[in-house]
Formats: sequence, structure tokens, C-alpha cells
Amino acid sequence: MRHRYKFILVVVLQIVILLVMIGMKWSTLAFGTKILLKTAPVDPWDLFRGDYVILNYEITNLNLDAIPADKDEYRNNETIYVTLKKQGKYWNAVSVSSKRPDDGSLAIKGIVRYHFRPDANLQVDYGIHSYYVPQHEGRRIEDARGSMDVEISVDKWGNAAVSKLFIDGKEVEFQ
Amino acid sequence: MPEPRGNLPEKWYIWLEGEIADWKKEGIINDSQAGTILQRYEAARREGETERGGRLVTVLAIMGAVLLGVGVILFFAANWQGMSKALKVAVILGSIIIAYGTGYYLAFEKQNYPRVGRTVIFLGTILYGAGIWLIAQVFHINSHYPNGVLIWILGIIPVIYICGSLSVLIEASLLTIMWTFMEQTGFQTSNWLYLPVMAVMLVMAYRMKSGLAAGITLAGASVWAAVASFVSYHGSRGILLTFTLTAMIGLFYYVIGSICKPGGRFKFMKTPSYIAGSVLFFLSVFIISFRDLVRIGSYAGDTRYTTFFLVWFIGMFLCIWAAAVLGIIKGRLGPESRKSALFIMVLSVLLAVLSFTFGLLDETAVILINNILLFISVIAVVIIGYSEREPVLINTGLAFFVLGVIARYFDFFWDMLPKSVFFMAGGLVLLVGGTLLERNRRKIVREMKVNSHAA
Repeated sequence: MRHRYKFILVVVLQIVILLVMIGMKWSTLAFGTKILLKTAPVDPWDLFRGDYVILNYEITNLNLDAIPADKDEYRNNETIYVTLKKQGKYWNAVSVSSKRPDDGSLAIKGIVRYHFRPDANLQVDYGIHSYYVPQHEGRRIEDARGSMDVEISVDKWGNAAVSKLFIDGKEVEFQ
Repeated sequence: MPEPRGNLPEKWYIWLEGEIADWKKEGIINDSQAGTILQRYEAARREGETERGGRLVTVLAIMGAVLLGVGVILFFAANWQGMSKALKVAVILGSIIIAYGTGYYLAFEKQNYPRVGRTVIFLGTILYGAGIWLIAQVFHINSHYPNGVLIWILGIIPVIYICGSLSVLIEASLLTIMWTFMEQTGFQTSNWLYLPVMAVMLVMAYRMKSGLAAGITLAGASVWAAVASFVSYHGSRGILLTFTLTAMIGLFYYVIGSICKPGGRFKFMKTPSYIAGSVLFFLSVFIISFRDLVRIGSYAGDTRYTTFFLVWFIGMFLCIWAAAVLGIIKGRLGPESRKSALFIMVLSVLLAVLSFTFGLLDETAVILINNILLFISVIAVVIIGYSEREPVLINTGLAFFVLGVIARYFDFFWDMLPKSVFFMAGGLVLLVGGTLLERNRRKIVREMKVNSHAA
């Protein structure tokens, strides 16, 4: 009985943690800049979260021979910012930096997964590589693979969230 | 009149009833004395029955909570088409609040169903974890997925602290292993954050005097050290050194178990430390007793020592010696434990010599040394188990003896010549060890007979 308030506080803390998770993504989706990225999916299955489609973007693998970077070598798990520029319909990577650019240009935050030195290939995780779909829908999307585009929301701190999925230019909606 | 020691197995009471009947027949005790003795143990027996019944309720309720929790996770994972995002979030938050509210009411407010109430609180912690994954699903979050497990752990630690819930502590201890494994293998990091989280788990285990939770955390710490060592070597190159490190950690756990006094504050750590220590040591030495595994580790010529390995290996070595020496000086170890502590100190030196000289030896010599180390230790631990009357050690030793013999039996057919040397050495060790074991067994049986006569 005496620890009733402490217990209530713990339950509130857990609810707040969940709401903060929602709030962070929601704010990115609501206030971020919408950009379109081209992708090619594969279909795994995750026990915790049902089916999802792995989204592999062109900006996931960066060739540092072609894109300017502020360092010769990046460590695994290092945070980086990739500046994006709209070229036609899609947004493409134009530079890589370990600091957030302060010139107002749009940059997406990522974590270096691998940096293969011989071919200067930089593999980056932006936290937008899964799109959750109803059970068994993942295979259908995989089979229907035509041109797949993803609309991403990027906020001013570089955080990104998946907004919409398009197959052959048509938005895929599950609810 | 002092209370009899409670929590004895039912078999013991049945045995006592038979003995009392015999004593009466032989005229050792009369009817009145027999009645007094039986009465003395009746209350403890009833208490034991109630306790066992209560435990059964807890186990059944926990199993129910786990099934329900998994069901909720799978429900959200598979059937999310019919619900809007807002409804899904509302349902999960609502179910968390209902579970915690009901559980708290039953366990602490009304107090009429304390075990069921605590289990419903446990269900609340599972639903909270499910909530993290649901939100990740709804918002397509996949950035650094081990953080989901960490948030789960951090959210339920206060529940353990406030409610003193053992099931939630076990859940958090298992999640901690899962989290560090995901973090280290998925992102190739040492995950230093594991150490403070592990310390919190040990403090909680101490507060609740839970040997099971302590044992799980000790096992988790060895998983962390092994993966961190592999990461420091960038893969399987450091296989030999990684497992000599985990063997050293196993010895450290064992020494910790030795210095925990049976009646002291840390007595709950004794058995888990013995189990975790002996299993970890034997498993590690067993793994590096295989030629192929040592070869995969590109043993030949690579004698590079990473900072992680050096710091932890030397640190563990010093801790073993400090704990054993302090245990001997401060008199925390009995005469038999003193012998086993000295043996552990010798083993730690052998492991250190092996780890820092293996580059000078050829592959066959290293495999041979590892095998001799395994079989000598197995025999030694069985002897120690007999002397200290710790069936856990005897069982662990015998299990690895059987595993070792089976493994070498298979090796024998693949590569006969080096194993002939091994079998000769193993046979000799077994003969000497078997003689010692038999002598010790007789000594213990003789002592037990003397003690029972004296009683």
C-alpha cells in the first residue's frame, strides 16, 4: 500500500517512454521535409513484428570515389550526415560529413555499418530500412517488384522516418 | 524450543516416519517420544506443502502470463489490418495499464491473491515490451533494434525494485543477455553499457537473494566477455584466446562461490557461482580441445593480443588470486575449500602459461595440452565435489567427462596417431584420479557413518 504512488509513477514512466517513441517519429513525419528515394526490396520475417519489407536505397551504399567526404576513413558505428539534393524526381547523395552541415542544406543522419577501404564503399544505416506490412503481404510486394519508391520525412536534425511506399508510382496502403 | 529446519523434501518425512516406527519397535523411544518427534516436524511439513502448492500456482500463473504475452505480441504482429494506428496504440497502452492496475490491486491492495497479482504485474511487463515493438511496427522504426530491448529492461527495473518481483527479475536478466548479444553481434561493438546494467541486475539479485537471477547474470557476463573478445579480434581469429579468457572467468566465478560462506549474506551466490563457474570453465576448455576449432581460429603464427583480451585476462587472473588469498587469510575457506582454491590458482597459472606461450608450440601440442587440462580438471572437480559434498560439481564434472570421451572417441577415427598419446595420458590420469576418488568416497562414507552413530 505504501508504495502505491511509486508504482503508479513507474507505470506512468513506461507509458511516457512509449509516447516519447511515438512523438519522436510523429514529429519527424509531421514537420520533416518529404523526399523520394528509389529502392529495391527483399522479404524477410521478423518474429516480433510480423512481415516487413527490407528497403535498400541507392544512398545505402555510397561510393566515396564519386562523392566528396570530409574524412578518408569512417569507423564502424560512427554517426555521419549525408547531404541530399533533388535530381529530377529523386533525391541523391551529394556529400558525406561527420558533422551536420550548417548551410541549410538537407542532410540525413546515418550510422556507418561498414567502410570497405579498397573500393571506397561506405555502407550506411539510416534507420529507414524496414516497411512493416500485414502478414504474407511482404511476399506479394516482393513478387510485384516493379519500380518501388519510398517517401521519407527528414527533419532538420537529420532524423528520418518512412512516410509512404509506392509501387509503380501508386501508393501502397494497408489500413 | 528451536524450530526444525523447514523446506525439507517430502521423501525425508516419509523416511523419518519409517525410522520412528523402527525405533519404537526396537525400544529406543516410547510412544510419547515418537508422538513428540512427529509433532515437532508436522508443522514444518505442512508449511512445506503449502509452500510447494504456492510455488505451483506461481509457476502455472507465470506460464499463463508468458503465453498470454506471446499471444498479444503475435496478435499485433499478424493482425493489424483491421485497426487504425491510434486504436492499436490505445489498445496496447490500455492493456498495460489494466494489467498493472489489476496486478497491483490483487497483490498489494486487496492482498487476497498475492501470487496471481504479482504474475499479472509480470504480464504487464511483457505487454510493455510488446508495446515497444508495436510502436516500432506502426512507425516503421528499425534504427538500432537492440535499443528496443534496452528500453524494455530499463522500464521494468523499477518494477523489480518496488514490487520485489522475482519473475520480472528473471525476465530482465534474460533480456539483458539477449540485448547485449544483439548489440554485440549485430553491430560489432564491445557494448560497455552492458557492465552497469549487469551490475544493477546483480544488485537486484542480491536484494532478492535470488541464486537463479545471479546465475543467469553471471552466464550473461561470460557471453558479453566472449563476444567482446571475438569483436576485438575481428572474428574467429581469436578463438583460442577467447575461450581461455572465458575459462579464466569461469575460475573466477568458482572462487567467488568458494568464499561465499554458507550462513553469510552472499550464501545465495554459492551454488550459482559454482554452477556458472564450472560449466563455463569446462565448456570453454571443451571447445578448444577440438583441433578443427583451434585451426579455424588460424592458430598458427598469430599470437597478437588485443587490449581487451589483455586487460580482462590479466584482471581476472589477479581477481582469482586476490579472492583466493583473501579467502585463505581471512579464514573464509574451510580446509577442503582451501585445497580447491589452491587448485584453482594452479589452473589459472596453467591457463595463463598456455595463453602466452601457445605461439611457441605446434598445433598438436596445444590440442594435447587443452585435452589434458580438460580431463585433469574434470577429475579434480569430481574429487572437490566429493570432498565439499557439492553434488552440482560432481554432476558437472561427470557430464563433461562423458562429453569429452565421446568427442575424443569420434576424433579417434579421424586422426588416430596423436590421439593414442592422448588416450594414454587420459587413461593414466583416470587411473590416478579414480583411485583418489574411490579413497575419498570411502572416507566420506566412513565419516558419515561415524557422524550418524554419534547422533
